[in-house]
Amino acid sequence: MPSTNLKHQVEQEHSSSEPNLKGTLISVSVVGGFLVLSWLAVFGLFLAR
Amino acid sequence: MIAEKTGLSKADSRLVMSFMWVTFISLLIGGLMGLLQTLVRTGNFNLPFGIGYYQILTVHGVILGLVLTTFFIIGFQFALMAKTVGMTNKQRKWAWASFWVMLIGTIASAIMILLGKASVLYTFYAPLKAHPIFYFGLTFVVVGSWIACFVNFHQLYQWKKKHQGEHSPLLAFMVVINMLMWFICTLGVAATVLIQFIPWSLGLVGEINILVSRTLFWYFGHPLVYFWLLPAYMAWYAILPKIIGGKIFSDSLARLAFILFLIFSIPVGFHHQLLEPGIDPMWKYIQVVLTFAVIIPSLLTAFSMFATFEITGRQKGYTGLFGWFRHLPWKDVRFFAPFMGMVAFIPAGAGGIINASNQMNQVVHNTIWVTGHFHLTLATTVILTFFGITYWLVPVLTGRKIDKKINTLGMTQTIVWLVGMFFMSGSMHLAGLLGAPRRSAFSDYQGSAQAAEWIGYQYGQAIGGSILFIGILIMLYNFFYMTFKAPKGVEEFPIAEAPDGSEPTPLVLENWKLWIGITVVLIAFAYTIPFVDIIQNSPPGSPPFEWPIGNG
Amino acid sequence: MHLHKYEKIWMASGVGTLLVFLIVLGIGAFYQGTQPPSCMVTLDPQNVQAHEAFKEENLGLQQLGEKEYTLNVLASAFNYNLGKDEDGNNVKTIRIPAGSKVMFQATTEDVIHGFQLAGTNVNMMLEPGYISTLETTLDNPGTYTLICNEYCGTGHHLMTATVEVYEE
Repeated sequence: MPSTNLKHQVEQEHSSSEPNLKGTLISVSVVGGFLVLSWLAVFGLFLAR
Repeated sequence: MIAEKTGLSKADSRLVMSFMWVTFISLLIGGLMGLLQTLVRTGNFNLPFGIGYYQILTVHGVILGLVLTTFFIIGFQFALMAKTVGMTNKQRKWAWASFWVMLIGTIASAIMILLGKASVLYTFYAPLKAHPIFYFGLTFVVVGSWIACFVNFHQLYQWKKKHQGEHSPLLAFMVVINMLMWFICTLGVAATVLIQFIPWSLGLVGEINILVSRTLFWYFGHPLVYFWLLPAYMAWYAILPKIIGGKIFSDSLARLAFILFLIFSIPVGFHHQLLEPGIDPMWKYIQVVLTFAVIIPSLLTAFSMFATFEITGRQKGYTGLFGWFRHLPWKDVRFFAPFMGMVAFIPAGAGGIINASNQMNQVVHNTIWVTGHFHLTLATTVILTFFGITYWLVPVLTGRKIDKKINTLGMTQTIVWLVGMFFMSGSMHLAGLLGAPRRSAFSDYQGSAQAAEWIGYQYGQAIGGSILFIGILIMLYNFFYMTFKAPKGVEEFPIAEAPDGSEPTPLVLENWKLWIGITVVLIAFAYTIPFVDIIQNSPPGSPPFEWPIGNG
Repeated sequence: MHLHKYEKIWMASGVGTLLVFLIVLGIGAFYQGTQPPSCMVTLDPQNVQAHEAFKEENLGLQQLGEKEYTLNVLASAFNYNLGKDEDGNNVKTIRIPAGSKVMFQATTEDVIHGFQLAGTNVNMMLEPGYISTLETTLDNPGTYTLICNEYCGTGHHLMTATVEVYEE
């Protein structure tokens, strides 16, 4: 039985110790923001004309 | 022994180097044409010897868009396959066959263009008719690339026979995905060229069905741009991590992204035909939705890239929110050039989403904005990544090592390229929003006030174009230096590995029959009904028109 | 396949944004009448005059009602045929009162041309054998340049006309 606990424990450690990707989230959000803003800008142009 | 040290045998190196020579000769010829175009469009430069603007525009498009790209990609992919799954002598003979068939086709078409018999641009829309040899030449290029497809397929097939149950090397998997997509999509352009253009241009058939030929062309046209993009993604996913001293973020995600590209990049051709008559708007919208699906793997890639950089940086001990970013190897051109390509892909991707947005296409279709868009996607994101690859690939092929001098020159080239493209593509985007048309020589449009506004931007394009041409000259010097002058030595063939202890990649990702099946089903769904509808409601076809392009 | 928590956030918001774009476009196209130009009417490209709209006398601006017009245009390399005025000269400028609803109806009798009114959403391709139509309301007064934005030969950049939207 203990072996499964061990495996379970290892898995828990693995998932809880996800790499710290805060910088990544911020960077891709900046990219996402740019995509949305440029789309809205040209859509505004489409509605204005 | 040599194979172990430089990673590629003498024979493989000579093969790949031949593709590189055609690539960089094309860069010079096609780039010079581009420079002349920007000068002509300022309104105070006329081409000498009565050369036509649309003739050099055709050379620019064919030589850079079809020849440079296809030769670099197929050569680069032969290097990747030889390195990861090996290449037998028999396979190399067929690889040489693909090179010669493609080269003969390229020369044939190029001669017709230079004689002014094929000024139909690289999209060669009917009913403008070029000399039949032009179409035969393009057919040879496609057939040559098919030979390369089957060599690559055979290379992976043989490797898997010897490695039962093992995962194919990531790069080999990616090459085969790209070549599968290429083979499936070129069936469309081969069909229209062989069944429609060649008999029609030879006069064996009197009329050509315009909308059928355009639909078959654009069935090929969008996956063509992913055929250009995916080799850059191969370098980003599986080579850059090694250069920055890190590991692949996720082998499975990389394979998933490439599978999504295979599935979604073909059933989307109508987003190039949104403003054309004769196609049901419902099917245009359905293919717009499928086009938005092909954005997803690029979103996946953006996350994977930043994650790779952050994990590598943190493992090296850099902390804080962006410590990992500050300590990326900014001085290494093998990283700097592809990274700048990634940065350019942000405005490039934004433009792509706008272009494909159904009725919004009316704001930008066929304006110089579209030209600005693909000078970001292809002429910056893809080309800067290809240049970044060249700084290690050519030394590997010629048994030399890149030195401080070339690294500095490479950094300079990248910066010059970015500055030039900022002016040129920036001006193109702004002028496009004001309605300036693409594919047009200088014209004041009979004193139109709107046209007068565009001229300032056309000067901006000329400034950018001149800077870019300087960038081309620097890159050519770098290529010659690395081929002939760089010090002898062993340059690393940088292939990244997945981190040890990462989850095994699900085997379903290797199930080729499944993914090819889904690809075919999606194509059938997106095209069958509208294509049959187009054929059934076809008007009388068009006779060939030669006089508008200055022939006959 | 293990997805990092932030990756799930990024992909969910990314795909969500794309869906919002598609819904906005879909409603605009299918319910607010801004479909991209997709006329399904065909005709014989070598005999366009057989069709009512492209007979010589019907070319140019036709008034249908109060502030409602049709503009019939026959494109060929390298000219937009907008019919003739009273003293037989080729019409080069069309004058339309602001706020008018205009149906642009055009075709080509030789190669593919572009049909773009710079500065407006009027932008469509003209292909032999098909009629291209686009209906829009021209609210903003100004002088707009009609240009061919699809390569049609050596004189492609010379193909132009003018549409003046004037304040009444």
